[in-house]
Amino acid sequence: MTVFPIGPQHPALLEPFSVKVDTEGERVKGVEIRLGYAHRGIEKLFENMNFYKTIPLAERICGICSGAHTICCSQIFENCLNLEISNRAKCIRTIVAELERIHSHLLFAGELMHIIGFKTLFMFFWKIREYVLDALETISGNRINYSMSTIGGVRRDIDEKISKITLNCLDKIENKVREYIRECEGDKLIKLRTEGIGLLSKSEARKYCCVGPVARASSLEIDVRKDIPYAFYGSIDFDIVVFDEGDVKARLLARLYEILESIEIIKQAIKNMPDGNIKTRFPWKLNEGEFMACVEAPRGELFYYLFSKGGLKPYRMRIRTPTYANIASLEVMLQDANIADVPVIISSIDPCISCLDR
Amino acid sequence: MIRIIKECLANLAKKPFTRNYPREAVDVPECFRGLHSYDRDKCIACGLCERVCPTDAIKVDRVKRRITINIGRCIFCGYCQDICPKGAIKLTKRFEIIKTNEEKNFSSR
Amino acid sequence: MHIMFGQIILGLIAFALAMLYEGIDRKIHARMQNRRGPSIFQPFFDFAKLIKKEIIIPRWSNKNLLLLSPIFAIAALLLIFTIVLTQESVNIIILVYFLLLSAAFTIIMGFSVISPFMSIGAIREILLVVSCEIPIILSLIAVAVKQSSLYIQPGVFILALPFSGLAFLLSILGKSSRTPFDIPEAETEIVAGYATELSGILLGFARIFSNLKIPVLISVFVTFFLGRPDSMLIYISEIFFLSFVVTIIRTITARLRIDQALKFFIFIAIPLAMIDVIRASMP
Repeated sequence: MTVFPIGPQHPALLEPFSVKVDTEGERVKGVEIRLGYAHRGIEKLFENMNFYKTIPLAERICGICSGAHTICCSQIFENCLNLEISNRAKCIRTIVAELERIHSHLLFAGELMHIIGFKTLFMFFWKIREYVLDALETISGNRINYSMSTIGGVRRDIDEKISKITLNCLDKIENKVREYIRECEGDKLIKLRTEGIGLLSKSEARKYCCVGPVARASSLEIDVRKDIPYAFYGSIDFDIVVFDEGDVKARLLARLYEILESIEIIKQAIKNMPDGNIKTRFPWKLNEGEFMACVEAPRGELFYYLFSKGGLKPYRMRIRTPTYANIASLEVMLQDANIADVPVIISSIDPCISCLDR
Repeated sequence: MIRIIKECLANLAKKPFTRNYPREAVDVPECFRGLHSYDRDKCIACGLCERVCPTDAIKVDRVKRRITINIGRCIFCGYCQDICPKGAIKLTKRFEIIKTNEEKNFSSR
Repeated sequence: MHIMFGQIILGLIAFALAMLYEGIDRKIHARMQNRRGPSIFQPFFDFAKLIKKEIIIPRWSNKNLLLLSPIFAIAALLLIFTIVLTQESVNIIILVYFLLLSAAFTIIMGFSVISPFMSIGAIREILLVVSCEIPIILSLIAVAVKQSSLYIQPGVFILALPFSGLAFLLSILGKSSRTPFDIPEAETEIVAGYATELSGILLGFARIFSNLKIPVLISVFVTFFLGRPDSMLIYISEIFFLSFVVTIIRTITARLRIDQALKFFIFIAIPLAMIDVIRASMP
């Protein structure tokens, strides 16, 4: 039995974590996962800063899901201070969150294609992603780490010109995404590499508490935007995407169809944007007690918990990221897989290790 | 697969999507957060920017009515621009701020 | 003396051909994906840089095998190139022997260092070689049966033996490790397969070897199926242009798993080659 390391440094992994598989020939018999290579002690840093300075820190926990962390951090302090923000601010937060979901899913699709060796589709997906990043740069000033949300609302407004540029970008990518979905569903080589691999049944997904598109591809219907609506999602009409097979192809298609749903959400939000101001004043002192906030990041459910004893600094902030919930299900998915399928399965749960290790 | 073949062959006739960056200029949008510009006449040395900066990159000199920004620590978030009551600090569109000789602490103004 | 001089010149021409092929192949691959791509002479700069680097020999390795196997692998390919380019009648057993020898040295390269990535790359190479040499051997046997002798001569046989030609082309993809069959050197699964622990000039030789396989195999195909013209210039440009069919196929496909590739060769390529052997042996 050889131990085969998909170690901290590997061309198949974007971020460092270690999966050691025990193999017999080309079949996997045992899995050992090690984490913690990107730990920076962020929860400890939260305890030393004044609460209004922690928003940029939360934003820089992760590069791909940075908008979700900012929205969650602002929401938890608004719950603590009993603050009600205007509807226009909620609508702008929704637009930024959905644009980020589109860019994250396109990144995942390109990365999966790269790992199965299809470099052409990898380049095509990342080319469309450039249009989305340009739209985000026009709205917020930066391609990643947008820092749009703050306590009390958002920092910048979206006027006529910016919404026209955003709608232009969405038109450019919608046709291409539909074409590539048909390609991923129909191409024989992609079917050979992704169908029937890395199976996760519904009962196992519930037992390991999976969240996000991993759970939705195993026929669990959970989505924070429908269960506990936040921001503007209560007044928007959309569907959640559920697949039944639970293999790698189902996870890929679940995320690609979610891109189409996000495009619909953004179009409705821009059409129905309410008027009002975008910022609300807030008192500079925290209340005592326990508070929580919950948001649907591109990878699943993101959960913040705050225990505060008054004053200016949060006493304890605990963050539970979605990859933390999904990574234990790897030991079920990797049983009896070929060595050639191990990187494909690992990257199909879309691991974001800087979120996980904080 | 026919779709991919058609798109690949069409791409051979088009111009590449890559921007030849150092040789051709790149334009950035209006609200881009680049290097700061500081107007000393408008500043009243209230110290609000020093209090709100998340990384403690701004130091205010009350006596001489002047601020020092440590660009090594600055994260270009723009909180100082939002809170300044007189509009003395603004973030411009300059982003090519790499220097070639070593300067300790890389401060400005 | 003349022969040695001629061999050195031919070796240098083959190296330059391989590096030029790699440069143009990467450029076309990039343009089809709508990006700019490296310059055509990039492999020359890479080789010049690799000559200056140090050769690192890992502790648990066989030093002689590690240092000599890339060189012998290139030597086997150069021999085939020489024979096919200049001889009037070629012994088929020698041709098949040297084709297998270049694959054997790749496998030796993979087993010369104890490392999980290299071992798995070498095992996959064994499986692939076993399955994609057989269609090549069968196609050459079909040509030999057609000429009723083991010393085959160049000629136009594509019209008489079309299935063998197709099987030969399919196995060129497998033998030269290009997508969809680049399984032994799959970058995202086993880092670099049998070339993981090589460094310095050995890595340069491994890259030249990988890129020399295609012009050499295509030259065998052109000589025995499309005929060898008298002008050397037309011959070399025919080989060059046919090599870019491999580039186009490499851009539009994904990589297969080793068991799926074996099934493809055993159930599709070998029967195609067998059809023509049977047809050629019937009067």
